[in-house]
Formats: sequence, structure tokens, C-alpha cells
Amino acid sequence: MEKKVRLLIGKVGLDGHDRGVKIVARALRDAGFEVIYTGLHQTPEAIVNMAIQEGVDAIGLSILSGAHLELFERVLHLLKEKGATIPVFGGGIIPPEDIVALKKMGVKEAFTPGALTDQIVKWIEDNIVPQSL
Amino acid sequence: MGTSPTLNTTSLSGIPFETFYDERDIEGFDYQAKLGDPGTFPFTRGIHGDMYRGRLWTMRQFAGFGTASDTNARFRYLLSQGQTGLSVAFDMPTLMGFDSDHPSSLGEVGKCGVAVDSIEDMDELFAEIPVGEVSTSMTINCTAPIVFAMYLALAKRRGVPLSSLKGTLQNDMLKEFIAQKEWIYPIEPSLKLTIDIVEFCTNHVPLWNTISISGYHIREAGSTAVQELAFTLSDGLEYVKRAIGRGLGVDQFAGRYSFFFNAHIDFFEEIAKYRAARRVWAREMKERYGVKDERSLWMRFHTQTAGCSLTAQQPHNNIVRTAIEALAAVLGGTQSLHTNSLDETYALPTEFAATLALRTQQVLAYETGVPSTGDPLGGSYFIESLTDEIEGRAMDYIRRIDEYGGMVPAIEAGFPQKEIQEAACLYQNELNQGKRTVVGVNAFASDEDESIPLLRVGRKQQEEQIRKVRELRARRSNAAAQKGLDALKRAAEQGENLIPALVLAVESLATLGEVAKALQDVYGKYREVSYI
Amino acid sequence: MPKVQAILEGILKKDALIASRLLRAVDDQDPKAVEILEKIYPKRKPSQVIGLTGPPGVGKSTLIDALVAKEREGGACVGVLAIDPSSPFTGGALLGDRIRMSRHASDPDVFIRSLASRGRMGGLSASLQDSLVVMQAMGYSPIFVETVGTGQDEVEVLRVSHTTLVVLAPGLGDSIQSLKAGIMEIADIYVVNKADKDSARTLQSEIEDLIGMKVYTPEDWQPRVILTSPAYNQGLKELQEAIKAHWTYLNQAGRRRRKEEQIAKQLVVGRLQDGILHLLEAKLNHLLGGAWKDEILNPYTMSNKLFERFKQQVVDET
Repeated sequence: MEKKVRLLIGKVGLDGHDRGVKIVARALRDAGFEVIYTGLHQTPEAIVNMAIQEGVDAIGLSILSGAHLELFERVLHLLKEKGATIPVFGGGIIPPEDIVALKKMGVKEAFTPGALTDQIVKWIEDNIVPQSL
Repeated sequence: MGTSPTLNTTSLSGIPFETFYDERDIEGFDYQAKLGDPGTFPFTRGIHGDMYRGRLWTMRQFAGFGTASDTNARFRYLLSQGQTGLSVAFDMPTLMGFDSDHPSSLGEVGKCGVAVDSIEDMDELFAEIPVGEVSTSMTINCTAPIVFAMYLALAKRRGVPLSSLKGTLQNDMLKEFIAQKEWIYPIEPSLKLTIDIVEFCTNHVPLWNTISISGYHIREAGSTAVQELAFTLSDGLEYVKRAIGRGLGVDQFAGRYSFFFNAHIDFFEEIAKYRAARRVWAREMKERYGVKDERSLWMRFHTQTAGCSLTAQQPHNNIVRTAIEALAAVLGGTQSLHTNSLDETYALPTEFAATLALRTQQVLAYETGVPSTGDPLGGSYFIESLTDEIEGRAMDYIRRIDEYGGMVPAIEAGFPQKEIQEAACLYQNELNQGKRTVVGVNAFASDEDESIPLLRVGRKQQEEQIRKVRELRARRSNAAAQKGLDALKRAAEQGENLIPALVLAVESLATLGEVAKALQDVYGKYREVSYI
Repeated sequence: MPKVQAILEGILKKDALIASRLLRAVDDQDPKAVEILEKIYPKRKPSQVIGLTGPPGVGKSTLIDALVAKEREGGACVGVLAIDPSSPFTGGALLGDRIRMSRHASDPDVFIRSLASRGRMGGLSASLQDSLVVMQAMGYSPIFVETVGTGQDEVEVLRVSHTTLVVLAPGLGDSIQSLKAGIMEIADIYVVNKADKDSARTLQSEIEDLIGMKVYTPEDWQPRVILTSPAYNQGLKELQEAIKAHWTYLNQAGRRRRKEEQIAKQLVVGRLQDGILHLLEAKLNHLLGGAWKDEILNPYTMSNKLFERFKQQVVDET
């Protein structure tokens, strides 16, 4: 049986801009991934709990309010606390120097406005492997 | 990436463009019925006879970041540079009803706007700014009644009569449920609060624009120009219906409803959109509600250039996009305008970028000669044909929403949400396939680093804000604050107009988060209905 | 890679990380998972499996969300398995049932797992029964199963649940007549959701008429019709009580044992079907590949011939 890549795609924080994240979720489905979409306004605690329960291979988070440094930091911290090794990537209004900071923190990749969904699909195909027992 | 990018032969709404237009495209055109002179029904050409000669549009740059005193400094700078009105951007916790020290506010404090936790922050925000003279626009929705109560309380503190207050509250919850998705309470109580503001202002703050019925966010969520127009007008009709249901006469309040549109990059379609908007609104108001006062037929609107048309790649191109979009808004007869800054796909604008955006408007106003003539494109075969086409397509949507029984049942059925979602995905696919061109993104891309300086809102400002709200709670009389909150809850349970109780609550130094929570105890919480 | 014993212990201790990894292996049909499933099967706790089916848009997720909240008030640890369709072309799936269950997102005592149908028909997913075994072994009770929700052919849920709920809502489709043949025959409880809408009562009496046409003995469970409106917190307590009443009914006179035997048989049949099909697919393709070369292109002649050959080789020998 062929293994499927499973992804949790969601909105963390308070902003309600979900145009981009929904387009990405759809594009990832069309690329053959199983995508769990969380809905809006999730806390880092909820994201981590969901990602663990859903057994995903990566977490993709969209943040457009500028709170990316704090929120990604918290998500990574909680994952570590729970002993989960799930790669995290993201997208949003993120200045270049923050992308550097996020990667240093452990975020695998960050996409900015104007990124084409094909680029995101390709990145996942190249970087995310399905987990096994 | 294609080497020869595609030229658009359809508008962003999917309307096909002909190679040229002539009199056959506007056969049977009736000047009086379709256009009328500027300032006359159906106001297609503008709501004022002398248009910008009488009164230039208001240059109103949206601003806000960090603490109240940071934003106050930016306000005073903008006023000194010739800006003619203030426009407050609040941060996410303020917009969503959380205090700065709430766990959900993590990382959000002061980020995409200013943090306001209490009347004291409001006082600081307007330090040395005469609230009785300046016109203040506030982009706030589900917590609009609370923030407005703080502004009213501030006026009282300063001895400024409410009847002299000028400004605009966005206060448009329908588009929140459709597109922007910042909500707290379910739809019905949310709209009750909206109409509380309308009713209160009609009686006590007559110069205040009570709702800014917004297509901007609908467009940013991915809609077409036609959808933006149709859903916004349907929202407006719903607000009229509800205020009448409150017992107000249409001519008492309708003149204080204003609109807020997007100026996207599809130049002619945008101009036609504004013209169609005025015509449809005037006609629907006349036919549906028997409006007597001409002002109630006027569609007055603010415009903001399209944030979603800007790109992170080659950010200097954004200056050009914004200038073209601003020109469309002015040719379309906007009453006020915000031009985006080149750096907004990365962060809030720096002072330099915000000034450049303001200068763009000033060049447009004072150098180009564009404002001297009202509706200069009126009578163009192309523009008139496009205006008719957009009107027709928008009316189809408006009728479908009427068939649902109005905007609320349509939202509950997910109709506008799904339509927008489909349009957004269609557009993205066109970009992916190279059927639409965005310079620097899927054409003329370059690897050269084009880095620009950015505004930073540091953790220090967040910590400062958190300290302030905690210090306030420690200093105030908690009994008095609790009393204010209890009285508010009772008023909410009894279905009263809540503005007076809200003013008392914020005067008792109850915080924004506490007030929002008190109302949530009574009204409950809205649950997301999402379509993907 | 944790040892089998460690996984087993983790499951019994409700370790979410271990459980979700096992569920993943189950979903990916990893043979190692079966070894573990075999060991945890006897450790299952007696937890009620409640299957919900019904046409799209009736509010199944929202209803489960509300029922979960009710169960949480009583302190129960609740499981949810929500199934959405996989694309038959790309194999991709967009699983969005969690959006409507968002208030439980950070509650570790509500274990929600989204499953893609991965080619299985009838509104379920191939791994559903195995996933239920894992959740039962972890002690989640009750466990809600939400089917894909495409319409009337989703009767499979009956074969894997203790209690079957058919959820309907006013204004969706002209009449329940069109649904009669399929899902209108399988419910232990009918739910008229969105009961705040005008025509809810009409729908209720239509269902009651339908039930009234059947003859029930005093031994039989008499299906109930409950009106609910999660938005207004209406009917949820009644629904919860009806679900519990059905559980009590099952727990009398050996009924639950019989029901669980059926569920176990279904699991056996399902596993055998999947296993045999998988085994034969390659073989059949091989036979078929050889056949095309020298047979006239008549699918009837060819399938008859191949079936005879297959029967001789596989079935008659064993």
C-alpha cells in the first residue's frame, strides 16, 4: 500500500485572512496529499494537539498579522514538550530577516505573498516524508 | 515561467474585452436615465455637481502600530504633512476583544495596529489632537461598540459635545461573516450591536458615519469586482432594512451610511464598478425604501488600493501599482482614499513608505489635472458598456441573495463565502498556468535581492502594553468596574440599546477584554462556517 | 521504532503520540499494524460506537461537536472518527470536519481523527474498523463516526456501529421519499437537525409516518425521532438520552453481544475481501494480460473463461 503524505494546514493566531491558506490547502489536495484543515483562530496548543492526534507528517501555518515569531516559537516549543518531531513550515506577511530567524528557530520553510502554490507543492514533495511505525 | 507573458483579454471578473467599442455597444443609450449630470439621479457620474472642484477627496492614510503613544506620534506627523483625516488601525487583540495580556494575544499586541485596552489608551492615542475638530475613521467591527464607547467617553472627558464629533466606524459585521472573519458573537446579536450604533448616532452624534459598508475585504478575500459590488450592496440593503426595523425613518439614518471599496489593478473594470455602484444604490434605495432626501440616495465611499495586488517580489513595483489603482479610484469619483505603501507585503509601512504613498495622492490631486473634471470618462463607449455589464451581473447576484431572504440567510447557507472561494481559486489557477501575468511573480522574475527597510514593532512595546493594562487593573476600583460590567449585562439581557451602558462600563475603567467577555456571556460565540 | 510491547502499553495508557502513529500505520495498511491490532483487540473497553450518516449539509459535524460537548460535561473521554472523500484521480483529500469541532481542538480528552475514504465506498474508509479498535482499546467512550455524507447509499455505517443515527434537515431536498430506499431504513434514531427552521415539524411527521408503517414487536427497538438545533442548544439533551437509552437496550438480553458479533464478522469479511482482492489483483492482471493476445474481444466470453480458470486454480484447490 502506498503511503500518503498527511498534512495539517491551519491558521494560528487571531487574524482571519484565510484566502491564501485555503487556496494552499486545495492545491495540496489536488497534488495528492491528505490535508487536514483546522479552520481559523487556532491557538498554538490546539495546533499541536491536532497535529499529534491526526498523525501528520508536517504542519503548515498561515499568519498574516505579524505575530509569526512568537507563534511559531510557541508551536515549536509545545511540540518539543510533547516529544513530537513534526516539521513545521509556514506562510504569510513575513519580512526576510524574520524568515532567517524562523529558520534558525527550527521552522523548515516560510512562503511570502506572491508564492505560487506549485512552489509549495514542490517543496513538500522534496522535503516531507510520510512517517511510519 | 513563460518568456512571453499573456495579455489580459478578460477582466478580473471574467468580462471579455473587445478590441474596440463603438455606438453599437451602447445602443439606445439614454443619458438622463443611465447617467444624468454629476450631482443628479442616478448619480452614476458622481454625487456632487462640482465634484472635486468643490471638495477634493479626503487623503486618509490608515495608521496604527505599537502602543497608543507610538501611533499618536504617527498621527501628528501625518497631520503635519497635509493629511486631512485620521484613520485608526487597531491590533488584532483589540479587533477581537482580547486584552493585551490574554494568552490569545501572544505576539499580536501592537503588530498590525495600535493596542487599545481601555479608555486611558484611547486618551493617549488622541493626545494633543482636537477630537471635536478632526475627522476620525476607525477600522473596527465586532468590538466597534466598545471602542466607540471609549471615544464617546473621551469626548465627554474633554468636554467636547457629542454632536460635534466627526468620523466613521467601519461597524460592518456582515462582511466579517462573509470575508474578513473577525467575529465574536453570533450573527443576530452582532447585527443588533451594529444597529445600536446607528440608532445612538442618529439621535446623539449626527455627524458620525455609522457604518462603512465594506467591499474592500470581500475583494481581498478573493472575490471578483462584480461580487465585491453585489455583496456590498446587499449588505447595505440589509443594514437599511434593520435600521428601519428599529423604528428609524430611512431619511434619518441612510445619509450616514457610507461605503468602502477596493481599487484593484484592472483599471477600467474598477472605474466602471464605482459608477455602477452609485447607480444601483440610488435606484434600489428609491425603489425599495421610498427615500425622499437626496442625500439618502448618495453612495459616498472611501477607497483603498488593493493590498492583495501587491507582491513581495520586486517590492518597488508596488509603488506603480498603487498609483494606477489610486487613479482608477479618483476617476471613479471616490470621496476619500488610502494608498498602500510599497512595503506592506512584508510589514506595516515605515514612515518613509507611508509618506511616499501619501505623496502619490498629492501628485494625483495637484499635478495631473485629473480632479478638475467630474467623471471624465463618462460617455466612453467602453466605460459605459462595461458599467452596464457590471451592473447587470451584480444585479443577478443581488436577486439571488434576495431569493435567499436577504444577506443573513445567504451567509448561513454559505452562498457568498463559496462564491468568493471559487473566484479566489480560479484566479490562483490562472496565475499558476500563466494565463494571468503578475510582473515579478510569474513573468520578468529576477533573482536580484531587492531588500527594503522595514518597520519593526518590538517585543518591548508588547511588554509595555501588557504592563500598562495590568497596572490599570491593579490601580482602579475593581468594584466600580464590576458594577459597570454587571449593568451592561443586564442591559444586554433586556435588549436595550447598549451604547449608554457601554460608555458607563468603559468610564468605570473596565477593559476592552472584560467588556467583550461580559457581552459574550450573554450572547454566546459565533462558530465558524467554513468552505474549502 | 518502538517495540510492539511498547506500542501496546502506550495505547493502553492513552499515549496520543503512539496511538496516532499506530492509526497512521493502520491507515497506510502497514502489515506490522495488524500484529498490534491483534494484540490490542481483546483489551478493548466496552465503548458505544455511534455512527452518523445523512445527506451533505445537514450539519453532522456540528451535531457531533455539540454531542461531544455534552459528553465532556459529564467527564467522558470521547473519540471521533470523521471521514471525508479521497479524490479518485489524485488520491488527495481535504479533511475539514475539524473546523466545526474547533472548540475541542486543544482538549486532549477528545481524540479526533480525520480519515480519508481512500477508495472505500459506502461512506466509510478502509481503515475505519481498525481505527475503532485502537480507540476502544484506548478507552474512549463513546466514539462518534461521521460518514462522508454523500447521500442515500451510505448504509455501511450500520455494520460497524452500535447505534446508528440518520441526520436530516429541513429544506434539503423536496422530500424524504427519495431517501427511503437507503438510509431511511437503518436508523436507531432519526435526527431532524436545524430544527429552528420552519419546516422541521413537517419533516418530523414524515419520518414518523414512515416508522409507523413498519411493525415492531415489543422486543424491537422502536426508532425515535429527535429534533435538534445545536445553534440554539435545543434537543441535545434529548438526543443524548436517546443514544444512552439505545445503549441500555443493547446491553439487555444479550443484544450487545449479538451486535458485536456482527461487527466482528464485518471486520473479518472486510479484511478477507481486501486481502484476497489485493492478492488476486496482480494475478488477474497477469491472466488478463495474457488473455488479450489470443482471445476475441468479447468481455463476456473472456470473463467466463477467466473465472473458470481462476476457480480451478484458487478456490477448488483450497
